[in-house]
Amino acid sequence: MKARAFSYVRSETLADAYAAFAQAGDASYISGGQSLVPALALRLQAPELLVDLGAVAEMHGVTLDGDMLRIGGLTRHAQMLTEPLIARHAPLLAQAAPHVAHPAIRNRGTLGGSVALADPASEFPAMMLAMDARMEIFGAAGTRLVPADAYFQDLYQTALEPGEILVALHVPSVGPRHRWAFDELTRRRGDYAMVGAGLQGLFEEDGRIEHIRIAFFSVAATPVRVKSVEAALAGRKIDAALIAHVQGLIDAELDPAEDEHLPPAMRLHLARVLLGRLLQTVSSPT
Amino acid sequence: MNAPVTNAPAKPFDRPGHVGQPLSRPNAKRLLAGRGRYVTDITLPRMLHAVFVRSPYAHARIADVDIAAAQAMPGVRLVATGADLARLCTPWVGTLDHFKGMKSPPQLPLPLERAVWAGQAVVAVVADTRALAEDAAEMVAISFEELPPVTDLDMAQAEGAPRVSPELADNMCFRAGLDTGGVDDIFANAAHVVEGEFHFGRHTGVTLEPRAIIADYDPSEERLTVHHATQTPYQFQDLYARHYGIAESRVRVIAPDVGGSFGVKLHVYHEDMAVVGLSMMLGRPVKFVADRTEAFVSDIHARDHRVKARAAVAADGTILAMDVEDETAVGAFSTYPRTSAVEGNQVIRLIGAPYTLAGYRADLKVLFQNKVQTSQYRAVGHPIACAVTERLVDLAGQKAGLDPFAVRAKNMIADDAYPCASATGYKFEALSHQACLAKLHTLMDYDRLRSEQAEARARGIHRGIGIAAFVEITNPSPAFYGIGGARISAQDGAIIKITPSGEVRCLISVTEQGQGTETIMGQIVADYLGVSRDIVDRTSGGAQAQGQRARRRRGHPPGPARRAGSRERRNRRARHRAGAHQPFGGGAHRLFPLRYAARRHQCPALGGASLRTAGLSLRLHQRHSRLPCGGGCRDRAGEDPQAFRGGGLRPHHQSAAGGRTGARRRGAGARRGFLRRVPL
Ligand SMILES: Cc1cc2nc3c(=O)[nH]c(=O)nc-3n(C[C@H](O)[C@H](O)[C@H](O)COP(=O)(O)OP(=O)(O)OC[C@H]3O[C@@H](n4cnc5c(N)ncnc54)[C@H](O)[C@@H]3O)c2cc1C
Repeated sequence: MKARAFSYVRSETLADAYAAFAQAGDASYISGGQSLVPALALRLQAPELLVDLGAVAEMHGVTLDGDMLRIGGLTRHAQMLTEPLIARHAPLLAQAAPHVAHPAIRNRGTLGGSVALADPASEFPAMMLAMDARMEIFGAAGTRLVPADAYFQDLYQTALEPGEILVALHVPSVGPRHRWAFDELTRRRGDYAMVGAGLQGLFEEDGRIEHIRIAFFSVAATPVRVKSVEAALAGRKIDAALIAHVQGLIDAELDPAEDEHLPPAMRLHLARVLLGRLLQTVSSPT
Repeated sequence: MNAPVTNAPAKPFDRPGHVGQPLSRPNAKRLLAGRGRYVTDITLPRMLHAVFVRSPYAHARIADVDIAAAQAMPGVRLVATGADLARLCTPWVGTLDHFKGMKSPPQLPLPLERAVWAGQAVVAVVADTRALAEDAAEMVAISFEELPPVTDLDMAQAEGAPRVSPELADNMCFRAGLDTGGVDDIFANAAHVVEGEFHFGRHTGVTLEPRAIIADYDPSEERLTVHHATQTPYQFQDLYARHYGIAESRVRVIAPDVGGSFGVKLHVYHEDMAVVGLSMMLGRPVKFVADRTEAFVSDIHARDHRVKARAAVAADGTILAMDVEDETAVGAFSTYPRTSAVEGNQVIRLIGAPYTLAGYRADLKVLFQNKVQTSQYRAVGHPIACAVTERLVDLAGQKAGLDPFAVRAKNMIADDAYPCASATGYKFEALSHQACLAKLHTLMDYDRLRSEQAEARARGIHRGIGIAAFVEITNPSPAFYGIGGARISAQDGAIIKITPSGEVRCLISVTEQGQGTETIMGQIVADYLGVSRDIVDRTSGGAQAQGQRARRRRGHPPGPARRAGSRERRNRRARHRAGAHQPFGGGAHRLFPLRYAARRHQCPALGGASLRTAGLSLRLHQRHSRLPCGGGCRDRAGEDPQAFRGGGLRPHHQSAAGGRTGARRRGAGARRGFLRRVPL
């Protein structure tokens, strides 16, 4: 398992990186390398040029701007667990992070890399949906913001055009009336989930749900929201009957494909179980 | 269980000091400090690297191989096909003579006409680095014509099924049966019949260190040196010599540190055989290290079985008989030299082993299919036999209204019934299933667990309690395979030298791959000679490697053991003065009296091998240790679980090792098979 030979450049600005990528024709960006390097070693990918984003200043750092938390694309998975601003304003990421891979991988892997790759079994991309995040993308026409709902398009396909860079993630800050929960079912801790989900909702003082976003991963070609469930929960207070009712909506909402790991019926079953647990968790204030 | 068997000395190990003690491993610190030396760490001058182009098809005709583009790639020294290697290497056939009717097609390092499993190596590329070799391997163009593959048991046996080997009449590799007689009658008259069908998915051993080999052929002396991550250097010395036509004395196989084996590293792999030929073609050392993806498609697999089994049960829960059909799907041929049939053979012989059965019948079918070859992997056949047996026993208990403990207690071989034999013919020397079951009952606090279970069940939590008994085959001796014509451990042994400075050097043929062999040998030798193990230097793992790797490994026993040791030494000296028989009596660090070393001794007890002194070295080299198969059998569940931590010697290390668990048993094994106490 040796990668094919490639050239390497470390750019300091988005423009330089973009230009280097465009010029090479057959290039890949590299952030943490935790998905890319194994793919190179297995020769599943063999670009001529690697453009290292590590030195691009705009991609580093976590800052709060009003109600928006801006998380630089190069923020490591491990920082989701240690960064106070994330714990305070985007707690769903902190809750999901321990489930992403293992410490060694979390020390290198980046949020931008994970969301750019958009593996359908990954935790963070789904949390972008649940948190209603926006993706800051640098391309030929400069920088634009794409909402998560429009970002995930198909298997490993996102709103990123070839050569575009995911610069940062903008996450609306949670307030006192927000509740959130994350959970996943894996055979072993650190594995990609058989089924996973995160939710974040705004609750009335009396415990009724004003609105809620629920995103599943490992159930489809992209992370997906279960919109009929979200709609059925709006305006309601969580109780056993409501949970059972919305669990019943899962089958119509999700359509997992048959694969070598799990039959679709089992994935649906696990999704119902998980939904029940998450709703139970947020039935009282977080 | 530890009672000595035939011709063991009356009072062996009358100076216990190390055997039985929980000693640290003398080599652990070295390995932890990163100072291990694995094949991967070895770089020889002028060494090249081999990679293999593999078949993406389970079954395909190799229509054409175009290597021209690969040959032209930078750093490439050789691109070799099956035909190139077939000119050097004679084919091998994975059958054993005592398995009557067994068949398997001949194998070569790389195939000539057909690829028979997905992942089979087809073309070898040798280059200056592994990366360059991989670059060139991408340029090898092989035209495959797909053939219908056989991919499961039913397909293999179906009428008109495709044949895995056109030269064989069908896909049946081996068929065997056992029958005590009277089984049909027992079933016809039994109060209950319980049955089940059991499917076992393929397993493989995943060692931390993958398979690794460097073959270094020196044409000037026609000498082959192989650095090999293997469990069995002597076996490979024999095989490389025979199949490549090199004098055995000119083949040396060195097993340096080996990072786990589990039975995976004792079979003939096509890549390994190829690497020897590649080195001969090039006259340069050639290295191959399987990466993990290659390991999954080329390391042996195991335990692909479907078992249909039933038991006849009397109204009171007595299990009367078992009737078993085991079908196992192996690879496209039987693995060499241990074959792919031993596992199934052990399954049908081990089923029911802990229990008294009046009747037993089994039918074993070993079938070829187009998948990775299978063979011996950890506890060969045992888990399957155990799972099937214990499920039947549980079902029998349910039918008869007996608790899982009660049904076992009722049916186990009684502790006072030994020596005896199982219904399948295994001879048992002295097991203790009943005592062990009783102890287990207390240790696990069964009654409390049951009430906790009932309480949890009421809360919707389902918690299972499983109980299993089994008999493990240990130490079956070189005759185990030798009877079938495979020279596997015929040359295993140990050489002990005593140096002029009074140190002991122990050279052992069995290898250390993490299970503590060197520690065990050090314990045995130190106690036997009555010295501290600090002065025993152990070297393992090399056919003709003795003396090459002699390293000083000073392990110190923990404090209390040390103090106990010195008290023991004082006692020993006292006994010595009193005239007790002590060939090498004396303090741990005293020099050996030269008069012992200067004599020459004949030693009939060692099967005719001579115990001689060459200069100052004393040689104890036993070539054949034969043990009764049942001699090493024991009831695993009956021992202290502590003893199993870190594992022990596997059955494959038969001869020199003795038993495989607690040091006490190691000592017992040593008495029987290895170092006999020799009157000097
Ligand atoms: C053993 C193991 C277990 C793992 N388990 C999990 C798990 O349980 N859950 C999980 O979610 N992930 C898991 N991962 C993947 C890990 O989280 C990766 O780090 C992550 O998917 C990619 O982030 P990265 O920074 O390493 O990206 P890289 O590997 O550097 O890049 C990934 C891809 O994204 C592109 N890319 C990277 N950054 C950008 C950017 N800013 N803009 C545009 N394109 C970009 C690259 O070109 C590449 O195609 C695991 C990885 C390993 C090795």
